[in-house]
Amino acid sequence: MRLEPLLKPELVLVLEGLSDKESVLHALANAALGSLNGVDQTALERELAERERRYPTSTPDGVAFPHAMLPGIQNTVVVAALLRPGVSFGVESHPAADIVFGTFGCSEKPFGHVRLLARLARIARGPGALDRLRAVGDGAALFKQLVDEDRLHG
Amino acid sequence: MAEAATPAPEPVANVGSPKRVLMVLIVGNAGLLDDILTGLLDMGAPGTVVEARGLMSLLREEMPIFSGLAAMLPETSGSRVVLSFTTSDVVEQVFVFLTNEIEQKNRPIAFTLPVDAVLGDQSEASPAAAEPGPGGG
Repeated sequence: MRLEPLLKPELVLVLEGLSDKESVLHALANAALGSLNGVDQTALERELAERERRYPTSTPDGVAFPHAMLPGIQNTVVVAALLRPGVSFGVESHPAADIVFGTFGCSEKPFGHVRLLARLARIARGPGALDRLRAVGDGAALFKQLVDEDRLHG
Repeated sequence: MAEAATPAPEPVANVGSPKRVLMVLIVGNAGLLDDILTGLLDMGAPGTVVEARGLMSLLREEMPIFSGLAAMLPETSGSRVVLSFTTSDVVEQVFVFLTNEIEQKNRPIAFTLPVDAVLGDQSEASPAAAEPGPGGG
């Protein structure tokens, strides 16, 4: 699954000064809301938080993949963000996450969402990919870098 | 009173294109299973993973007559077999992925078998209900 068709420049962000996971989830939901017709922000944030409560989505590489799936979501939305500084997602053995992919999809099509998460995981595991993503200066540069990283994987 | 018998569903013939196939991957390096499964999911090829043992492992550990030759046998202790009911176009992508992103020495044995008829696959990922994801691929 290609990531590029799902990326929107206005949903690729550099977020500065967020202090905790809750504020990150709020920022992701808030950003996604404009692309999710008829979805309630409170429900979106509740779903993100519930998923994190079950098992945090951060990785040992400082990347997090918070995601929310609701029946009312018609189209898959991705919000990609660099966090400055990084924010702990609550796993002691993981560093603060400074690259975050928030994904929002329809709960009736879980396999499509699994594919998207797999794609993001492949991109994040690409040799040198995280260093290149962390080196960008702003949202526009992050968008371009994500497109380039996606294209490396065919 | 006997209930009316439910007619058995008809197996779906393998018609049209792309062809439906069973893809088999034998992954000898268990440490790469995560990367390989991530790639398969990305390409829309779900599967069933079977814990397996290589023949050499079995010879070394359970067949005493061969155990004296243990030093000459490969160290590989086990493997995973991934079975994926998918389509030929997905297989093409998977093979490119395995070739480009998995080192040759760690690459799984991979092959496909044609599927003539299918019954019972109703998953979202089924080739029978294939729907290209965003951007295809």
